[in-house]
Amino acid sequence: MIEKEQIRKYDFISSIVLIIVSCIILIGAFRMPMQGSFAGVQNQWYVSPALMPLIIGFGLLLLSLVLLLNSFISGGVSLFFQDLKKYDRSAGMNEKTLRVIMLVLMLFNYIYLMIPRVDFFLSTSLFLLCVVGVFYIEHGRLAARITSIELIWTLVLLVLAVSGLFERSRYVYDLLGMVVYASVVWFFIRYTADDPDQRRRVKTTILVALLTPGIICPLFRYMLLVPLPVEGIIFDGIFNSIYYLVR
Amino acid sequence: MKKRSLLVLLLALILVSSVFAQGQREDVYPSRDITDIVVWGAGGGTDVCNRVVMAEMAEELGVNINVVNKTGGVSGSIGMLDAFGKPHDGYYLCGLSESNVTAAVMGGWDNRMDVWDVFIIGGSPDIISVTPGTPYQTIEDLVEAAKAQPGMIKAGASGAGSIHHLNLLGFEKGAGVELNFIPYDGSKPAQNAAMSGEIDLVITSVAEQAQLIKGGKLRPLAVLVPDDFDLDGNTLPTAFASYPGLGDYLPHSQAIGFAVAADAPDQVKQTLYGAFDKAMESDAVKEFGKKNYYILSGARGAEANAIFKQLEANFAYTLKDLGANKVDPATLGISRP
Amino acid sequence: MEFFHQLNMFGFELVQIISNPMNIVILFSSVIMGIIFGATPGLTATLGVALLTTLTYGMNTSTAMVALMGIYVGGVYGGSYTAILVNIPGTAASAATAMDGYPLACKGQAGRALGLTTTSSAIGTFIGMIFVVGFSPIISRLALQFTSFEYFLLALFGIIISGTLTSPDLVYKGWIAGFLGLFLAMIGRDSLRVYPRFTMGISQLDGGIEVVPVLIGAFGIPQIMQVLRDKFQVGNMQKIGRILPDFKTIGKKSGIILRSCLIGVGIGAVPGIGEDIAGWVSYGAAKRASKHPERFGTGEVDAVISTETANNACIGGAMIPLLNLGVPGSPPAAMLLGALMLHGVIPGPMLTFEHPEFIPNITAILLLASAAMWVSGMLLAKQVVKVLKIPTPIFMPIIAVLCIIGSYSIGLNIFNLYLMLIVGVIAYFLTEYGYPIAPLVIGVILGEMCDTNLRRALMVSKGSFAPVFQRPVALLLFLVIVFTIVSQIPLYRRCTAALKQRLMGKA
Repeated sequence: MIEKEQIRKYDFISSIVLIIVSCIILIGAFRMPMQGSFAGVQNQWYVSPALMPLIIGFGLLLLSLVLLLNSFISGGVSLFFQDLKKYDRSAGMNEKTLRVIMLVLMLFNYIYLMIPRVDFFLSTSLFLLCVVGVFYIEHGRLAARITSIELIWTLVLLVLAVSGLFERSRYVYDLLGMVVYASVVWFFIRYTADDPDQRRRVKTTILVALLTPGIICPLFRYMLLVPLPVEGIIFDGIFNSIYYLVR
Repeated sequence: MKKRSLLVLLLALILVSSVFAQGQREDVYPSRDITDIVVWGAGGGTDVCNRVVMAEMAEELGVNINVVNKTGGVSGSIGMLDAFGKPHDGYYLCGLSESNVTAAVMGGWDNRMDVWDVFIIGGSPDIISVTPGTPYQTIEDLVEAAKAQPGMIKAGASGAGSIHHLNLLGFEKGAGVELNFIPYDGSKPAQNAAMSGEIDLVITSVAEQAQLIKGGKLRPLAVLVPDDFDLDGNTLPTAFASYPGLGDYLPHSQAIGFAVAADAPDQVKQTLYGAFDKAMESDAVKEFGKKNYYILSGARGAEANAIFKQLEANFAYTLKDLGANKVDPATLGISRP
Repeated sequence: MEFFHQLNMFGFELVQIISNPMNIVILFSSVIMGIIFGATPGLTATLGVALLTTLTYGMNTSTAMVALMGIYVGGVYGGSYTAILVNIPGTAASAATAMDGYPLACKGQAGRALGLTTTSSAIGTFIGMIFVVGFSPIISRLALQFTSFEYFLLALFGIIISGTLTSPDLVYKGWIAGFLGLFLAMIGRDSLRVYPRFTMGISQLDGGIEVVPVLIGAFGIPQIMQVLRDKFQVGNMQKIGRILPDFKTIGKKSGIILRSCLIGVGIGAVPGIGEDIAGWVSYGAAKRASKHPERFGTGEVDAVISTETANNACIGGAMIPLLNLGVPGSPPAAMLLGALMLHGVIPGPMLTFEHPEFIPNITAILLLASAAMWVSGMLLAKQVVKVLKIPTPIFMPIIAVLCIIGSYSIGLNIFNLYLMLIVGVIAYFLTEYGYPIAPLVIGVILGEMCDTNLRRALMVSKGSFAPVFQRPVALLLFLVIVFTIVSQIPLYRRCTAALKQRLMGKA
């Protein structure tokens, strides 16, 4: 949480956003049928699906107006405009914001793009490799490289997903994923060649990236009988082969 | 250098083994585990029936059948979409029930039920019961009271468009009464409300009510099928005897079962038919049906598909008459029953 | 007399279960599996019971029940691990535990906190069990006092109380979060008229928003982001501390424990709501009764004890309507109902006649499960605390993966994951700006119940609110809600303070 003095400033922003949200809720609610028979239920105002959204919309509007008022009284608004004038464009982002953005990018790539298309073992391992690589090894230039690979990979997946190419061919995404995987590992090795401490960290990272899904996937798939989102090249090739061999 | 060659080796290994796995798949069905995607929640009637029958079928087929639940959407559309999106090779089944037939008219998906080859395990007939505190002793008492004050008697059933709601509507039309329909989130909450006296009468299946009837928590009036139903020696009379008009609208019978994609290979279907027949004959399934007051069906193939086609038309046009549909059944090619 | 007869049967069943060593093995392994399930974010006791249902199909009924009850008890308790250690409640039931458990861990008392939760969970389960044996008929009759109006008021109460309890900043920010949660719950087809609300034409939203992705998104993602952003290491700033049962503290807090048990059993017995709400209500009661309510949220032992006792006592409570009416009192109990039906036992009013040995059997299993939970909890906690020594840049991404596969496993639906990240990013900003997250999650859990029951109640009463004042339970709930809101208004606080001063002055 941000410190107490600053928070009134942000209350101003959040109250504006909340007022907009509550207006959207109210507009949506007013579009719902207030009366009229539907699905065999009698027609009265109190059966309307709009009833609760209206209560929520008005309640939220009222509370966010109170918040806005409080922000005015406590000087949060004036602080906001002061800071707005002082804002220096050349300063760029601070490191913490950057870290958050990187993490969100990786989560976005993993959840929205990889999980629905790429073999679950591979996508999980790649996700871990990148996140742990950036946040654990703490090597500035390496982190930048991984982030750019991640960006390119995201773009490639986005383009493929939108164009609908390879939607039917099973292992294309997996093969692409393996190429990305190999290049990340290659950068790991290249950038940390001369530092034994970082070498050790690289080893740990790769180990974590392989072991975590290596334990989780079979556990969920074969013990808890949860079918995984995509069972692609690695799953069919290694896990399923072993499973049917042993069984 | 060593690392890189190791990596290459690993990649090669994966590729080779995946090709190997592909080749292995050409075996006789079933050579892998089968997944049964149940579109209703775990612990419910469809889920339990599927688990019982799948356990028997698994023995027959010699592979595991994993029963998983994938709920959501309208009328179980999410689970059906998922199961239908899987390869149509017989390794994916879809556990469903009669209530799924409304998915298309409710806008859940744009397929009709004929994309499935259905297996019907069975179902339990619907019954009208009242709160013991009410003065109605027989179905005639109820109908007279309802005629005296139309729309005043509170009738509970699970949500709009459900099988029990359709039965309620059929009863209203057939007996010429008007009730105040209060929808609930399922049969259990509806029965609960009847026990607590919030509503006067409740329509759910005999399977769901049996324990409460025997315990005296609810008073049974009549079953909504043409024949009397025997509940452990107590005869539950049919409403059809007093109100023959019901025959025009009822029965809407429950049909719990599962399905495989209709365009699955014929050999797969034949194997499943055989296993299903054996499972329905087994003592475990029979015992389960008896204990839970299910009338076992065992219909499959053309017979079962015809039943579902009938159900689809029935549900679709009832919903249309209520104005509760999103898609016109005619545009889907469903004709009025 | 009835009570003693029950007790006798109970003893008989207890001996029978213990005499089979296989049962003991199954008991311990299922309890430990439950703890792991509960501790993994996204995996809940409900899912645990669901998955085990398939695996226990071939066992005989009694053995299967040992496994299922074991995983249920372990699952409800296990949620406290991640709640205390990483501030991500493993299950919704332990969300209230995180409020004070995590601050305790940051103070270097993770071990103590885990020891206390273990003991209080065991006591909670045990007392819940006594209620199953002794007071089943009375409580199930009470549960039938709940009609739509009562459900509506109860849901409203749950949201309001979690809003007032957890706000780190202004009180009404908690209510704002609660309203946002309620709004999320409105998304989807409404269950009375099947009208699609705020679905934006996305068919995946038709079925509404599921609780688990919201829970994990709202608690898990912001926590992962904050820790990785600040390079925060819990283990750095503390020593683990001894894990002892700490009976002395438990003895001193017996009043809190008893009250929390009553709350837990009561809420468990009401069909439809379960462990999650029990934790919050108990937290609220403990805060109100405490001499130092201002300490709540900063690592107060009372808080941790009250929530964990209540959510485990809830298990016993939830069993009461299940066994006596065939109505599950909580979501995992609903799963249990399915499992029982698979084994040919159909719970309901006839259960005591058809299977007279069944209720004593269940209570005996509950007793054993709470004992097994205590033993394995004490052994496990010591090891589990060591995870704090793993560097967070490694630990948190693994937690993230667990969160993701956990939320996926619930409905096998990738859409839930999409939702999770969106909720997570929104929740990150909300936490940054001083809004509490718990009311949002409670809002999602209770929103549907609040909406449907209000409208249904009005349908039954034909638009009149009179039943609220005519029905005793409803009136009581209504008064409690009014009191909760009024007591937050500054004017009221000033008045009571002045009144107190005057009274003190006179004395």
